[in-house]
Amino acid sequence: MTDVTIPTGLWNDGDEAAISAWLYSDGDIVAQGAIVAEIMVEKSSFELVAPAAGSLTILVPAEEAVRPGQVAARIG
Amino acid sequence: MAALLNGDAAARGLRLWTNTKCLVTTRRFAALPTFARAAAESAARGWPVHVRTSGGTTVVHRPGMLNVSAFDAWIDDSRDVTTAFERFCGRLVAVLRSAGVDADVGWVPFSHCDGRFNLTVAGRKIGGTASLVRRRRSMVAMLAHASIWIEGDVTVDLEAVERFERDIGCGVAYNRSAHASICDAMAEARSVGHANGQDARRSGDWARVSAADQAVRGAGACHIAVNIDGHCPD
Repeated sequence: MTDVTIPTGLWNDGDEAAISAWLYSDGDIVAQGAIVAEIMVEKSSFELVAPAAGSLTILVPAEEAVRPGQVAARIG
Repeated sequence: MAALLNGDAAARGLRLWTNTKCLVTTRRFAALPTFARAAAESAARGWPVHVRTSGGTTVVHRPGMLNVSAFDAWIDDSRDVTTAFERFCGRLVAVLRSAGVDADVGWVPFSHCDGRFNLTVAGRKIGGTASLVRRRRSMVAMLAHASIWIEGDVTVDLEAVERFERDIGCGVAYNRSAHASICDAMAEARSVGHANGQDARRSGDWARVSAADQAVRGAGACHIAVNIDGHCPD
């Protein structure tokens, strides 16, 4: 299993971030490099990229807050 | 964005553009099960819906609105995303001020697609901003975008947004008076200026504004010419 991790160093530590949308459903097969989710920080959109190919297991639902370094999904 | 991330310097730049009449919403709203039907109904009312990758909520595009898109990229860790976006907004404010529009940046309570970096005049929203950031390997690319009301009926725009967002189940009632086109804002400023015996118009190197002295509201008699040298904000 490969962790899909919220990126670090892209926004200020104090800014509130949330997954605004998963672009695949739980269990979908994703390709390496696919954009699997969108993270919103205020009105800036950041993209969560699949680090590997495989079946996506979503750990953090849409609309939920996330922090840099947090594992949001796994691919296996 | 892909070219930027591949190090293509020619992909950096500033684009000024307008669009045909439509709504532009986010991937978050497009993922809702109510989206397809709401979008079809909006299109039937004359407001086709497109999905964008930058943040925020639903906005209007149409003739009479100016879109400003800046594409930039840098080596990761060499620049802060928030600072780069603040600089983009700051340059927009500088252009507008040099054109005689007393613009600022800030939240506007009860405005649509509200955000810390709204473009404002006298506390009213004249434009919204948003961004998309992508990181691949050692590069970060950013699309910074602004949509600015130059002229036209803001109330009609807000009604279209409200109806669509209500249909997808995310309905919020926005305050009409929290919004203004630049022409409306300038007309109001001129009214105040004339009342105070002042001339609100100014000129600058980056932009020139000529506005007819007769009533602007409803007459479409506001002309704004903006010359930008093409430099990408950095």
